[in-house]
Amino acid sequence: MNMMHEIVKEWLEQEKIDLFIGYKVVDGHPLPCFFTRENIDDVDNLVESKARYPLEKIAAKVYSTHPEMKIGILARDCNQRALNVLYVWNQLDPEKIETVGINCCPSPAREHADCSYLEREPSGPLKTLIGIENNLKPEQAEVYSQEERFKRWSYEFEKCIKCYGCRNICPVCFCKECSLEHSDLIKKGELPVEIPIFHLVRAVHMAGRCIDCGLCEDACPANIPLRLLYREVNQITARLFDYRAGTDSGQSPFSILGENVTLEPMSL
Amino acid sequence: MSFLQALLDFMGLGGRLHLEWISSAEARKFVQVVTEFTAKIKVLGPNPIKGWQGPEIPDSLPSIFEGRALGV
Ligand code: SF4
Ligand code: SF4
Ligand code: SF4
Repeated sequence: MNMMHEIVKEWLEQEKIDLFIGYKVVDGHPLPCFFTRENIDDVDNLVESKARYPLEKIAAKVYSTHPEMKIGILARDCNQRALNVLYVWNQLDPEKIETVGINCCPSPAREHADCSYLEREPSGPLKTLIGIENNLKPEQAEVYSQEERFKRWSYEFEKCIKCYGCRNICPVCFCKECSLEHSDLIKKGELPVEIPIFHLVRAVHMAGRCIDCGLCEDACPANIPLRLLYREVNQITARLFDYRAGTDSGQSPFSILGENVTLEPMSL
Repeated sequence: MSFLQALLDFMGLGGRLHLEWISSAEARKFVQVVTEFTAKIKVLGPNPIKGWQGPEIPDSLPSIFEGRALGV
């Protein structure tokens, strides 16, 4: 039993929390898992793991049906930022959440990091030639001319298989009715994807919300540089509205997008 | 520059979106804005979204590609 196990057990026993969301190794895979008072010995199986899942999205789902429940969460820096966004958008009540922080975000200043996210492999020559290299900074993607940019982004977007993995994994995509499934905008079951509408809609929605966790890009089977795209969204948001999602505590400048925005949580 | 204009610019569709608030009382301004925008669009040429024919993959890939994963 380590210190984390002790803390979680103590919180459960003292009824500080009713549920703890962390990871447990199942058949060799670290997976998100609920730990409860009723099954307290299982807490010994709790691990930090290097796996990353949007545990706060699971917490928001629990909160939507059990608002009285007090939830503990294993939180890396990215989870913490996502929690802040969910508080701002009233998807979670900060009074009901306790976090156990863990060591993460690789940096020379830390001895080790419990995080699966390290810099991605450099792109191969074809992608470098006609697409957008995932590791670029937004400014570096702006060296191309307008025409060249559009060609390169089109190459990336055309690979999309509309699996919705980016939306499903994203901790701050919580709309009950998602615009990406709106039949006037996106045709069901048809490929190639609507360029650039599909990715543009999602990018616009990430303004004031995206906390740069990179889970969407990790999840994307087409290796589309989504994180880079939303980093630019974040930069524009910071420049125009002086707002940084996940760190600024105020209401998002985009919270009044219109009457049709549904902000009730959608099923996972 | 508005948020959407900045984002479209990043994707290479800059200058094709024009957002302006015009009240119904400003008919003359409306005519002026539309005329200016039409002239600008003519300069920019046809919408690249309509004309896009898929990625341009070079016929003969340079020899550096040999034996390497291309990367997608
Ligand atoms: S990086 Fe991707 S998954 Fe993470 S918050 Fe932003 S859009 Fe969502
Ligand atoms: S409507 Fe936009 S913000 Fe909401 S779930 Fe869909 S992509 Fe995410
Ligand atoms: S995860 Fe990638 S392939 Fe799937 S819908 Fe999102 S962008 Fe498209």
